[in-house]
Amino acid sequence: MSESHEAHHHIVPIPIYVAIFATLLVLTGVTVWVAYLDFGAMNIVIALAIAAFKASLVVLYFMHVKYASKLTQLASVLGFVWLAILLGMTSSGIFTRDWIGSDPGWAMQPLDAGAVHHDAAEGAEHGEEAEAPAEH
Amino acid sequence: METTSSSLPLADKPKPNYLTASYGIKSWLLTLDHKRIGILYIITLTTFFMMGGVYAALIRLELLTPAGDLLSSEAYNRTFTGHGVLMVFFVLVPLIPATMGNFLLPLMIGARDVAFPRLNLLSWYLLVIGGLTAASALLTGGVDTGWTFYAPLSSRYANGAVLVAIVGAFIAGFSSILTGLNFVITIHKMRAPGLTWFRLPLMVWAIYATSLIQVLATPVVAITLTLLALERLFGVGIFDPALGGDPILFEHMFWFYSHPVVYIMILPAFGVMSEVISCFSKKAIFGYRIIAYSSLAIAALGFIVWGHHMFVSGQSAYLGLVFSLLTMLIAVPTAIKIFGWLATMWGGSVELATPMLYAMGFIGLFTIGGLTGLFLAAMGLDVHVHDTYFIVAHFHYVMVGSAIMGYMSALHFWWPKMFGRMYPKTLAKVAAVLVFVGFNLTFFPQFVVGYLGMPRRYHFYPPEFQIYNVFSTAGAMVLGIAYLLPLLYFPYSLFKGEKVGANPWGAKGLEWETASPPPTENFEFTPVVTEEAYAYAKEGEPVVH
Amino acid sequence: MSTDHHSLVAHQFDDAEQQQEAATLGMWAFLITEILFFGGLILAYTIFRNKYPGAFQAGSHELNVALGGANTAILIFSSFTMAMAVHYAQLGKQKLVFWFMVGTLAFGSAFLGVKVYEYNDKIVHHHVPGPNFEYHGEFANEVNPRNVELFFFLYFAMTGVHAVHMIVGAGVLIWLMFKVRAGAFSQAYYAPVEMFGLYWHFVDIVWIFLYPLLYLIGRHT
Ligand SMILES: [Cu+2]
Repeated sequence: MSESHEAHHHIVPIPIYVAIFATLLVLTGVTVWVAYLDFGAMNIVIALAIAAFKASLVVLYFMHVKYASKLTQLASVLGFVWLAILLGMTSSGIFTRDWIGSDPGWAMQPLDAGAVHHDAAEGAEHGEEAEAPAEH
Repeated sequence: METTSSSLPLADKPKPNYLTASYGIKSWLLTLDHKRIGILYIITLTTFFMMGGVYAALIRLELLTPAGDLLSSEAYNRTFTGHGVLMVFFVLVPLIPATMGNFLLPLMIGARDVAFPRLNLLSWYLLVIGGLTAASALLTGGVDTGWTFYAPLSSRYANGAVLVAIVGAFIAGFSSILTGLNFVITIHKMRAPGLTWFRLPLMVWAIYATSLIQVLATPVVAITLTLLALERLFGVGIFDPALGGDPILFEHMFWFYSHPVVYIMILPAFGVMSEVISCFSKKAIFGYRIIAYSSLAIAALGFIVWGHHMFVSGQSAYLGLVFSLLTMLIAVPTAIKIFGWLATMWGGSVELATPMLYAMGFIGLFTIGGLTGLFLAAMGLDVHVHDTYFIVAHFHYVMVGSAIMGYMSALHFWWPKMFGRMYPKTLAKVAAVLVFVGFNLTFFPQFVVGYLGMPRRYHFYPPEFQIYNVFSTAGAMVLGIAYLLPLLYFPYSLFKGEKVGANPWGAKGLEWETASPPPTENFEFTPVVTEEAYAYAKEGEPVVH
Repeated sequence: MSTDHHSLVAHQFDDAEQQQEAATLGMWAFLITEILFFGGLILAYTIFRNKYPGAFQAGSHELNVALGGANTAILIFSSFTMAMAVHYAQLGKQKLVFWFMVGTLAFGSAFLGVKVYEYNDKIVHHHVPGPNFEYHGEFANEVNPRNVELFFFLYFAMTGVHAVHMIVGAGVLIWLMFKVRAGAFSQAYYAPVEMFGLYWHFVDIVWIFLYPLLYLIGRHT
């Protein structure tokens, strides 16, 4: 019970709710509007930035996180941080996997076939074959 | 409990405890008492463990000879999949948190129960339903994908009851999520007065870190299995490259969960070690804070190393480098713990009781399992031993040699607290030594034969590998006997075991201050904590016998 | 197990404040699992949108921007009324709590109604993934229909999981409305209303992201 008890019953004034509500509606219009303008690759970035801003307004005011304990505030960002780990590491892996030439050494390509022949010439006894991912 | 607080606790007058508070099947199946739910988990997991053990026995018997003479290839695939699915999803993941965690967590923090008792009971039902679903899949048609369910094998080509098994694992996942969520809130909000974070037993820190992983990782495998099921049902290519999907995506999503899962298994065992080793060394734990922080460090780092399972899968080589480095980093907080326990034993008055024997076995086996993990984190070596018995040996040293040793240690340590009776100590020590011997005899030869190139998941192998497999099968028989012994002496002790008092080991911690077995709401009075954990250096409380 | 506690405080808690804090933190922990559950879908979306940008644009152009936008606004309305319901629950004004819940339910139902109309439209146009899938839209010469099908698979998975959350939410909301009518809540005890509010706002947040991700791809061309 070391967490602070402050501000659990903080009552947000109605005008703030109305202001957030109006802002969310306006930003929805802005989202649609900018989608029809050509910013090139930035279109998706702008769309997500607006969405993230809208989401923060909902979290901070409608969900009272602005007035909540430090622990609740931490909990409200933790999920997004972990989502960023999942998205960041996976997509960086998938988007960079073709970077080594056009011929990754571990696919069933002539390079690999050569390596297998080389092994066979040595009379290798270990059964290291090209990996089919489905069998791991 | 306030209504009884006026009467003084009398020494020998039998008062109702959580076992005698009510009787009948219904009083158990509808119980909200965390201690009874813990017992229900012990029974359930023991059942699943024995089912998984039957599969293990079939695998070892088949591998006794180089020819595939006992099982067909099809049946062998189904056997090792059944072993893996049952043992991972239905035994090891819930093993210590759901059994020991449930029983002990509220006791250790001086609470009457967990924060959400109904949710707690629901978790148990979900595990049972999930387990029965998966078991029905294994018994009707079986599953031949391996426990990893790799796509597109599992989504297009496997011809067993894959969907049913996936549903079972999915349901068990929600059991795990709810348990983790419940424990996180319980630790944050239910601690007794005076029990600050740095007075918590390290077991509680370990369960806290474990619960965070359960909450953060399990939802991802739930959606992964959902997508897999949808792909299998509707033939749309999320993972199947022939349909435009990406099989590596499946592996990323699967291992985002399934690497942290190893820490769901092992972190609570680390917690048990801290309790048992300090108790039987009669010394305060060495480096309390750094062991506590290292649990959190392992939980966090455990989320950014998953790609070490994918070095040969066609994962980006650049990301592979990052994963390789991060995987090696995780050895640091792990080693800190090992050194902390060794330093605790150093100069202590070490008593070789049964829990301590298991704990020392744990240190030995985990060191081997952990260090071979470092070998595998090096990409070059991993390419050589990938999908060989070296991997099988490595993860059994971690998941069985460590997680199950930790569980056995915990069970022997807290058994008298759970039931108020002691098991036959000599027999238990024999079993502990047999586990250690049998385990090493089973799995150490697998390191060798794996390094020499014997692939996993095939039941034929070149004759020159037979000698290692004979050792392995012999060891498995020793291990099987060693695991059967507690199945005999624990039930025996419930009726014939010597009765013990509140604190038979002279241990520290709130759970030892209430009666054995504890009353339904755990404590006669809400305890107030005024000292640090593991205050063994001070004059210990008189041992009650 | 009789206790001296107020009957609204479960026996494992010391007081109402502890119970309230545990419930709030528990709800946030649940929402974390929800974020990561949707996260798997968003990950698949990220990967395939980068792999098949043309097909995703083609699929997105088959969706109705106006209907999606209207649904976004409708959900914002429902979030606002829910925020007001919690506000009046804090003040103990049960009548207003009830009527703002009615508003939330109405907007939520309107959202689902629009969704049903959209799904029906997709069924009519053979845009449901599976053996009957067809794509003859404006980009038909440039993209592989299989990849457009993948877009629609993700569309149905993401909006479908979202809609399931809406339906479950509506069910809980109706149950809460009965509880409000029965006088179950007071200024001292309204945790279920507050917890449901958190859930409902979360579902709104999911849609705030889904709308640009699904409906607004490459609209400027
Ligand atoms: Cu791993």
